[in-house]
Amino acid sequence: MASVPAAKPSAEAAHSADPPAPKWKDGTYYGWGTSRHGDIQAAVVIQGGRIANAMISQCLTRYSCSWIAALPPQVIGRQSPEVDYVSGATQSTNAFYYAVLEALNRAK
Amino acid sequence: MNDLLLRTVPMMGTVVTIQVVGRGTNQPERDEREATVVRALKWFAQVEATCSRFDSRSELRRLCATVGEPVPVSEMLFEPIRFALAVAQDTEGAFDPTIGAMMEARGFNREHRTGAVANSPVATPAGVSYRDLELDSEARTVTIARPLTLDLGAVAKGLAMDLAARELGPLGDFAIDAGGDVFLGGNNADGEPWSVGVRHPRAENELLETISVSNVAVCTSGDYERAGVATDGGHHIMDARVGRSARLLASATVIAAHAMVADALATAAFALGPQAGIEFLEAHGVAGVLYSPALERFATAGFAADTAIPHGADTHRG
Repeated sequence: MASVPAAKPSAEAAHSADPPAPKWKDGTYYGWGTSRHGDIQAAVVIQGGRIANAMISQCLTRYSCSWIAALPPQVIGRQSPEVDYVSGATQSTNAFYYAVLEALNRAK
Repeated sequence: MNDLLLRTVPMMGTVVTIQVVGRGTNQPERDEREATVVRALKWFAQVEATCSRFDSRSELRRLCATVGEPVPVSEMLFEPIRFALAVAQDTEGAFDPTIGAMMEARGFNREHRTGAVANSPVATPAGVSYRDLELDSEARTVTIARPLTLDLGAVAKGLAMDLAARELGPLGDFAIDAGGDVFLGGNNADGEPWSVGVRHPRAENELLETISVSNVAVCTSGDYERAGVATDGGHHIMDARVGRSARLLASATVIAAHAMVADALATAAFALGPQAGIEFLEAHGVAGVLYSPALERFATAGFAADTAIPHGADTHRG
């Protein structure tokens, strides 16, 4: 999984006396992710500098999108990856994950 | 200002992502980075075209069509075969690159881009092994004694990562993620060593531990990868000595200077099981951590995790 540059773990921000400036600008951003199953576009909604919603906006896969339908709440809960990369992470969720990352890069 | 370059493409049956960290770069530098990433990604396509057992036009499939006489092969095919053969010898066949036909029979026989069945036309007699391969380094030839299909799945992706890493080297700070096998060059966007999580083998979004690394490959073989493909209910990592899935471990993670080494040795350690696996990794001078299906942890002396061992997991050394 790829890093979100300059993003510190959200827990650190939550405990800080002076909240840092929001790392993402408010708005809706789109990004594409590719997997062996095809391409997925994610839409990420930033409100108050945080991920308010993340959804699959387009799906150009050979299969149904339902296999990743459960993912968006997990992304919202985590806010940003706690590590730069994960060894052993397989590709099933990566398409959406990378799409979200690409969208977040546009939110800077 | 950080300006990040991220490219993701489907390659070699997985998703390959290359990230380059840039700091205050100008447009010509950005163009150069972009061109470098494109060149790096091309190595994956080239290694796949050479080493794939799913592509009837690959050099590997052409090699496997000739039995009983030396076949001159390219460096790109010879080197991964030579390395896979050395690992097979060191593991006394627990790891074996001649399991292609066995893998096909178990359902690992579909070309990832088209989903089409891609069985090799070679009819393999029972009992073929790495001992049926003979290499001549001087002449760079491979002789296959009995009909077999090579499976370079555990080495070819690593080779492609190493070639891509060599291409990206001048850029300094970069990362390559090929379906959970990663190579981390230099530092991350914060100017710190890359943090790499080791995936929990039973929970896709959980990590067992985190390590901090720079200029190394970190590769994990897990029994959860390509789950549900095997027609015999097993998974994709064979203990070739017994001809079925290796069952003593759930995941094996190896850190090494080269991805081909990390990838192959992770697969080999997985096939060997915890005790023999750790001894094997230490004998090869690489760091690694192995987890059993019950999440017992086994680590080499050189493996330093900078987070706590997961709650409830037992720890063993060696």
